[in-house]
Amino acid sequence: MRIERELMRGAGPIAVLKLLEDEAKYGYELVTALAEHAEGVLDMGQSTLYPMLYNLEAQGYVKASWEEGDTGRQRKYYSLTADGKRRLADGVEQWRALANAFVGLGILPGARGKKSRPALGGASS
Amino acid sequence: MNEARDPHKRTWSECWRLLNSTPWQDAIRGRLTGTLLNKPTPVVASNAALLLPTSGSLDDERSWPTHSLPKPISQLIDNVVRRTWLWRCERRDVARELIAHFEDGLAAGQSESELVANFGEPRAVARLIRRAKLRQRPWAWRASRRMLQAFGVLVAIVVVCWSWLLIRFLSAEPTIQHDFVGEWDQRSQAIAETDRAWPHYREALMKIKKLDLRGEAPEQRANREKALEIGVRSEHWPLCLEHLENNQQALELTFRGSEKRQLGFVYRDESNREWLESAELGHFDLHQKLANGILVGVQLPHIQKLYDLHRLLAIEVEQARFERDRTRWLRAWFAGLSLAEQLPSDCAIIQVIAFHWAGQNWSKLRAALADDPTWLTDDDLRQLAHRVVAFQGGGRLRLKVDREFGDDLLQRFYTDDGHGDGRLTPDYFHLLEDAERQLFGKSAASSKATQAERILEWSARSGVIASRAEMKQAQQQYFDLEESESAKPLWEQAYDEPSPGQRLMHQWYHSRWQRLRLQPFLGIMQPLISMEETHNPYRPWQGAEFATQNRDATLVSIALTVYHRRHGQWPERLEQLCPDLLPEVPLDRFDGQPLRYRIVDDRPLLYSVGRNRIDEGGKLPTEKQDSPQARDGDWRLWPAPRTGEPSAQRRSVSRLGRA
Repeated sequence: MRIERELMRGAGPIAVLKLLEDEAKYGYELVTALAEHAEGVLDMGQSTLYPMLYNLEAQGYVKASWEEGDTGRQRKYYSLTADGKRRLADGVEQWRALANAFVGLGILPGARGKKSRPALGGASS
Repeated sequence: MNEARDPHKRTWSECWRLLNSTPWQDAIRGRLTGTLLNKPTPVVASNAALLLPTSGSLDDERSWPTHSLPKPISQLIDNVVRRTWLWRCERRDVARELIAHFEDGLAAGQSESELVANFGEPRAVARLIRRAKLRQRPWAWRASRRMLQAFGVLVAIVVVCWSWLLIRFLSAEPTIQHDFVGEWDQRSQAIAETDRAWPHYREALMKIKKLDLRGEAPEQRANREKALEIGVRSEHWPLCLEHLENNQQALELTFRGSEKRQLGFVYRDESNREWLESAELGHFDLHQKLANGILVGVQLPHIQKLYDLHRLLAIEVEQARFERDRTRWLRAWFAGLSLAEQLPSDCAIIQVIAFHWAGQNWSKLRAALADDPTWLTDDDLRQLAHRVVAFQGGGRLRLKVDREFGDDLLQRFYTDDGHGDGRLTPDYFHLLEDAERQLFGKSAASSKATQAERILEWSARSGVIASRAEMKQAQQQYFDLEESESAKPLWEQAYDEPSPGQRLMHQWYHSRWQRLRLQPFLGIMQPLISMEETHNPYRPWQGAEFATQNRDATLVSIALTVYHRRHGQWPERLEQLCPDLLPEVPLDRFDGQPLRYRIVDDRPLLYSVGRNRIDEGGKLPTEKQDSPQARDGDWRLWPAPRTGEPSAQRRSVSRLGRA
């Protein structure tokens, strides 16, 4: 299942920031990670990812650098900046609150007020 | 992009492109990249075998990354990158990243077609990439871009609005529904032909050998003007005499006209054609003018021309007095007053002229009485008194026709929506053009380019110029104020300050917005505005009050003369003249009190307190007493100071002041 574009616009950047939380990643790696971790829900398509990364870079949440990979090829690696980390923490908090509200409304399963676990482990907040 | 070029095999066009891509070129464009600011990446370094220091421009084609991707992928990348319309260095960066992306995809085992299919539509991708990359550009560039965009939008709005205004302006046509000139002619035609003075005056004007002061040298002109003012005592009087002798026929015709009851000027009378052609009243097509004359252009020129006849009569009066020819003097004097009386009395502008002419006659009568109280007979004095009393122009100003002037102009310059409203038409613009052509010659409006510019300018102005209804309201407001002010006696008017109408006009004139909106009306009223701008205290609408003062003084002087003849002495007080010779003592128009009177050296002195409203015993003002500048002293009404008599300023001690 693929989520709607408007929803993706809010969720996509947080998902990408989350993927970059632990280590720098290059474009294709992010595409495959999204497809793998989000079970295809956040599979945003390769063409959408790059503009999103450029936007995050313009906003100062990620920084990019050309580095040589294992194969000896040049790749552009993206990593989180301090601003990006703060943005991620805020985003996670907001999505949790939203998820709780959805639980309360019966849209999501689970007890009311119980915090849902993040989809990926290692949340900073 | 697929194959690296050999930098050693360059064509001339490539060399030119290379030169055109120096760092300076980039500096001019405001983006220094490549080796000047950034450390070159290994890819760049490996591909840019250049002698010159590299920049974003130079890096671009030379350092385009090499790859061995299949053709469909290569075309896809090319397609996307080309459509982004980004700077070269940005395109290169995107291309490198996409190449790396597809290489990773292929390395991960994805097929070529799968990668292409998953990538998305190139145009949409390029648009998204462009949008995101533009956000990465420096804020100064983004601010400039926003400003340019805003400017572009503004220009587009202006062009659209202006075009609309231009079409609206050029397509506007006035609807002339009211024939003011025809109505005026009808009123004149109601006068019996035998009672009309105009046919005689027209003949006189066609026969008169002009005292064309405008055609003369300034010195000669000044001499003639001075001679007319001073009279026979002037050393230049022979010039006036010569003019009188040259125009005996015109003088006779003027006398004949003065015997008629009314002027009876019929504009659309074919008999006027010859006169109109000879009078050079403008360069308009005569046929058009006769059929469709503008009221203000019809009513004023012929009266202006009558000045020539009035001047002739003034010379005749002066010369007759000099020759002590009583009969001749009386004939010319009565003719001069008739000419003033015959002028229409429902147009303030014309009334002011009539007051001026009548005033000149009254002054001459008072001067004759002062010089020789016995010269005129009792019967003469009786006749003169009756004519002075009967002068129809006295009293308040009537602005009926002046309002019609405004209404006629409005219907000629504005469209008519049937409810009294409308918008400005190009006819107003054409009138300005005509006026300019007449005032400044052909060159002012001859160039087509200038005309086009002015049409554009006026089309823009037409968007803000007041509508017909607003303009009519403004005119009414002004005329109402002036009419009610001029109905007051002078002592209730603020004669040293602008009238309420003038104040309103000034308020409009000094507000940029109102000046623009009411430009057509303010343009017509410009002479009055200029008068205020130059601090000229002359108030044309106060003409009626000054005329009344002048007339009353003349009646008192006649009464005093008769009293002296009867009693052999002057009365001690003016009240002694009532009720035998005067019904009551006329009021001083400046303060509402009876006119001042005293006997000095066994001679009577009739005077007014003047503009300062202080009774100074008849002391002369510093400036010429009836000039707008005379602020101090009193106005001697009878005997009046002679022209050229030294004013108080030039005399150390005034005899009357001492007294």
